Amino acid sequence: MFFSDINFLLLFLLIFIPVYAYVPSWAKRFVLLLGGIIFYAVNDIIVLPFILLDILIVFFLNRGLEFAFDKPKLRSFLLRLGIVLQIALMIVPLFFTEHYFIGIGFFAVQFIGYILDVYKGVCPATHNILDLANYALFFPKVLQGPIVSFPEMAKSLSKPAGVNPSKLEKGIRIFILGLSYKVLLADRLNSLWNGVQTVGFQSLSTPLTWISMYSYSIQLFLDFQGYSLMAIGVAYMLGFTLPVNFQSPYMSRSVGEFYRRWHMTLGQWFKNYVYIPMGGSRNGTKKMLASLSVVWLLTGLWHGISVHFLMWAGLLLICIILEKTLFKKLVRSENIILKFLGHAYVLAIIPMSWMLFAIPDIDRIYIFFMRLFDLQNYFQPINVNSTDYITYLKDYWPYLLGGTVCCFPIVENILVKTRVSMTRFISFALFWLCVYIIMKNGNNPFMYVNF
Amino acid sequence: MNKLIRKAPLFLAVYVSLAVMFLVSQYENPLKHYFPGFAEIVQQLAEDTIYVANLIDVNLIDPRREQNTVHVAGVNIDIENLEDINIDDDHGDILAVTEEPEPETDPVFVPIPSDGSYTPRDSFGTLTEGPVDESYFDDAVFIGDSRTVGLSMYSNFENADYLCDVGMNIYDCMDRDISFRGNEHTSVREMLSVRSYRKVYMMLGINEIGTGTADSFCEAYSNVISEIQSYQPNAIIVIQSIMCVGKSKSDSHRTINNPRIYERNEKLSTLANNTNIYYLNINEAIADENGDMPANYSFDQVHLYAQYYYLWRDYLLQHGLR
Repeated sequence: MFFSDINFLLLFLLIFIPVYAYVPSWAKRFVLLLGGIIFYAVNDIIVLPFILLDILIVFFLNRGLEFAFDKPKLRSFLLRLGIVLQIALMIVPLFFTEHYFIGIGFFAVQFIGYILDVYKGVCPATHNILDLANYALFFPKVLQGPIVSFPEMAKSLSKPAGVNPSKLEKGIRIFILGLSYKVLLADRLNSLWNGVQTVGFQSLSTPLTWISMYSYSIQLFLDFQGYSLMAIGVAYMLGFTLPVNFQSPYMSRSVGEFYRRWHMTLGQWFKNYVYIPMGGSRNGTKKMLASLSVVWLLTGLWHGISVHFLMWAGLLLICIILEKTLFKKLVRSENIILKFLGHAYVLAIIPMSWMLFAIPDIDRIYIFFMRLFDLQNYFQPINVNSTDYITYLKDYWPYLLGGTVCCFPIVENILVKTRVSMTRFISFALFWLCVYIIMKNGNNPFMYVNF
Repeated sequence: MNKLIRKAPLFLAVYVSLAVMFLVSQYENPLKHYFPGFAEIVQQLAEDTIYVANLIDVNLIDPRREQNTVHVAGVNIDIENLEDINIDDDHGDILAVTEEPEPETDPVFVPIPSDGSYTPRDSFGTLTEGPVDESYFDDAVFIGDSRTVGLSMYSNFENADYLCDVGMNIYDCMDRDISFRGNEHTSVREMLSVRSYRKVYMMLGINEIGTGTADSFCEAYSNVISEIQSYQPNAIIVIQSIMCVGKSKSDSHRTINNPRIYERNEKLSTLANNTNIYYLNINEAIADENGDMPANYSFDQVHLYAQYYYLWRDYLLQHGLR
């Protein structure tokens, strides 16, 4: 049950929010936990016991860290045990089952952060397991983030503010915007990407290769940003504030800046728990390079244990290192030409890096890039329909155009931040349009297959 | 107004770039190698404009004038039989006319191969399968789902017509809203009633594989064939077998699997009467020795990669009917 699921929209949310709003405040925490458990169980009941067990372990481990404040050896053992357990939770299932554990990467990262915080004394270990469970299973963020640290949420979890009308309205607006990104744009563009993969990269015309690359880049942003907005929106409706995950990343001027604006909560996590502890940028170039390399190696592995993710992370690492050393002045320059070149560079290199991210197979990556630059000396295309891009443009131009516009902050500013009845009406209309489209696809007896 | 003035450079840039694109499309240049269809788009735009202009023009004509026919978008309409055409009395518009498709060729014109190999359709004799050349498909139409859409893009049978759509199935294939040669909203039924063909190639059945039984599917198929025959009495119908899927798909999917596909194909083959309905087992060209589509032929194990459409194409060329 994802947020764009009709059961979530018209069943779970419609029941949960009134119940949560009208139960007495002492019961809110229990209702919230119940909601989280139901939400997770609907998605993946097999993993739920492991998650609950993990919550127990982390709770007692952190209490142990506090009790053993004068035994450094025991403390470092507990710390390592905790981190290894979380990593094991991420990795071990990969070796035993084909089953993908939803949201497990997010659990692990947040718990590692919490254990480290307690170890360093940044925050005390919680005495209330209910808060910890609510933090882990908080259903708006349980599947795909945003990543929040425990201290950020602890206060609002132990004394839930409850639902208030103005927050509810803003939350609904944010949620609808995210839903529209996902349902109206990202899901449509996804079928373009599927389409070109079905044709096979070896038979794409060069223009279509470029179109599909940019289409995928837009789709990935809208999908993830859509999800984050929905999460933030639902949390807001319930009276919680989750951090922003994206700030129009495609408007950046360098790759480094891009990743300060893309999946920001993950970036901040790596900064706080890996980059700065390893030395960061204030202790000389060598330490900076080492810590950057480790951060990007881990980022690659976090997305999946696979060569293409490492290639993706490697490319970005190279770009960022170059930006931090050789081209430091160019990146910071306010010269208008350099600014323009910076944008052009980001809009060229990032979509290409997404191709490394999206295509799991090295041979197919090679073919894709050969078609992208039409290097016929190295790869001879097979049975290309040279006008295929016209067919695709005809079908997808509204989504490509809409998606491009949504990469700028303008839509968000209009629909979320202005409080006039016009935008209220637009949000309302967008919601029912999304529901209509979801229902249409859902009621189609050929939903799973549309060949 | 100030805003507009400030935005003027932007509009100017858009117009200039459009003009440059237009010029680029008009002359021989290296860009044509990358954007071969561009000149056609411009051409199409011009044609569409003229078409729309024509329509507007026609709508101004009073249909009840003393004239026997009105020439609308290439179709001659007999005014004496106007009962069939929906007339909006308030405005005097011919509403039905705007929906009438514009045939590219004279509807009754059917090219006949000059080598004398053609069998006239007044009496259907049993045709035999054998190799043919591409001109065989000049008077053919392909009706089908996304796989036929793929065929239309990657078979290089330039002269055949393709009435196909992603998601098409035997139950909705006649009514489904499809686009055909620039006509964005038409249907197989509409096109078959306007155009004339000698060969109708069909491949349907993968979308509805989870619906009904092999018998109910074949019954629906048979009904569709009867309807097609009522529009195309001179055509032979060629039922192409449902193409098999890859092994991983077949093993993992509840309904989209090869046993089901072969069961339905078996039933489909009984619809053939070998006078005007034939059955072609396309899987002879696609399937491996186990009857599965080889894994490296397809990304999703359902649709062939573009590079393998030649298998299907060559099979059709090897198994022409005459």
